Formats: sequence, C-alpha cells, structure tokens
Amino acid sequence: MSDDLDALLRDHYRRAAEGVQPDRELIDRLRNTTRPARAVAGWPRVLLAAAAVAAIALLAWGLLRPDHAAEPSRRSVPIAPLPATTEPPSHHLPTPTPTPTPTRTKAHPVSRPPRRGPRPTPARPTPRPTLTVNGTPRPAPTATPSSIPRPSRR
Amino acid sequence: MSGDELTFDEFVIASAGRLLRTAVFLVYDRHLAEDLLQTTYERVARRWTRILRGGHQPEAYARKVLVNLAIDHHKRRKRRPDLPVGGTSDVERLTGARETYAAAGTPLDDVLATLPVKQRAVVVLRFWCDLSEHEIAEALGISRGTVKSHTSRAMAALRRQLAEEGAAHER
Repeated sequence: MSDDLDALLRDHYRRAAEGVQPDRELIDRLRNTTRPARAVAGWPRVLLAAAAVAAIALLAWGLLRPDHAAEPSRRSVPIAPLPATTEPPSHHLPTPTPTPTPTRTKAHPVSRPPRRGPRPTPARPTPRPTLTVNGTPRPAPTATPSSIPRPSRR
Repeated sequence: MSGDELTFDEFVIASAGRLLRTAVFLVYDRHLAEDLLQTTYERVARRWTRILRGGHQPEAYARKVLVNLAIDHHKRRKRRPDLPVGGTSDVERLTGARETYAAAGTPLDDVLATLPVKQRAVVVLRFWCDLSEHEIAEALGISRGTVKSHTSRAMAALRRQLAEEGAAHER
C-alpha cells in the first residue's frame, strides 16, 4: 500500500511537472532582478556609508570642538573691560568701524594675538581726542591716517 | 553541477525550471511560486561567491531557501490573513481568482493542498526532489525523527482522504 502511494506520488509529480515550465520572460526576470542587487551590494555601498559617516562626524566636530566653542567667550572677556579703561564710555554710538585695527592692537598688545583685529566693536580707542572735541561722528579718519596700519606692514 | 566555473546566470538558466516546479508544488499558486523563486535567487545571488567557495551545491542551497520561504509565507498568512496586498498572487487570492498549475484539480492535488505546510514540504522533497531523510532534515532544519513523523502523518492523511474519495466515487 505504501509503495503504491509512493509510486502514485512520484508519477503524479512527474506528470504535473510537464505543465509547469518557466517561460523566457520569467528566466530573464530572474536573471535581471538579481543583477542590481549584486551591483549595489558590496564595496560601493560600504564606501558610501563610510563617507556619509565621516562627513557627519566632521561636521559635528567642526561645530562642537572646544576651540570653536570657547572662542567667543575668550574674546569677549578682555574686550568688555577695555572701553572702561581706555576711554569714558560716553561715545559708543557714533563711531562705527573706521580704524579699529591698529589702535586696538596698540591698546592692548599683551593680552591679545594680532589676529583678533577684525572684531573691534567695543574697543574703538581711536576716536578719543578729536571726537570728543568736535562732537562729530567722523573725527576718527582724521586721527587715524597718521597711525594707520600700513607703516607697520612695511 | 560543479560550482567551480558556474556563473550565476548559467545557474539560473539550469535550475529555474526545477525550482519553479518545486515552488508550485509547495504553494499551489503559480504567481506566488514565481515571487518566492525570485526572492530565492536574490538571496542566492547575494551569497553566490560564498556558496561556491564553501563547496556547497548552489541548487541545494537555493532549494533550502525556497522551501523555507514557502513555509514562512504560509505561517505569515495563517497568522495574519489580513496582511496588506503585496504582489500579483495576493491580488488574485483576494479576488478569489486563484491560479494553480496546469495539472491541478486532480483528487491527489486537492488532498496534497490540504496538508499542513511542513508535511507537504516533506512530501515534495521526498517524492519530487528525491531527497533522502537526511537531506530533507538538513533542508528544513529539523531532525530526521521529525522528518519521519511528518512523512508518516502526511502519508496517513493522503491514504485516508484518497480512500474516502475513492469510496465517494464508487457510490
């Protein structure tokens, strides 16, 4: 009985198999669908992922590095007291930024590196004599030319 | 089939017919069988070099993947019959237009289709793929004892149902 059923099943599958044929389209689909998977998998994908991680890490480092974070505070600390020491705090408004660079370096050469020049807002010691006398907002240019930066560069 | 110089394309051409039939006998649904076969080849392609380097038979590996995909699919369907529509076979199942292979409809097919999926897998691997108990156990990841019990239960169910149908025919 068991052998009969075995034979029956084998025969059944053999006959049924004749009706199940893969057509050309299916074969092509099977070959083609695996191709992109093979192409994408592997090194290119790994490299892409690594590059993305590196870019993110670099960005994060750039934003969060201690140097970058500390800079503003270090800058503001010495600058804030300066106006008080060099000059009466009355003239803050009029003088925008005419010649801050040279004067500031002169004003506190010890405490700051020369690089800090371009951020002169509160210091502006230049206007001191002329500005107070005239009361005009543009005395600084007249005062500065003599002490202007160029000579030092030469 | 020696895997040494075999390219993946050659493997697909050589094995697609046999594996497609195996898939159809497992799931009784041509479109689903094709979907499963495609997934199978994708997985094989991903490990192609490793399969060849490890000295494995690519077709045996693919068959193992295919059978387990079919079993998993059946389990998923059973657990969640309301799964979202995914492929052509799902659409046809939902619309009731279930397509089976050409020879379907014979009494034996009806009986085979009602077997639990693991029992059916054992029967297909045994009588269609001609695998030994040991090979079946390896393919399904179960013990030889479990293979034996699945086989005997499946055969008992087939015998019983065929006898019932035979009796019904005689009446």
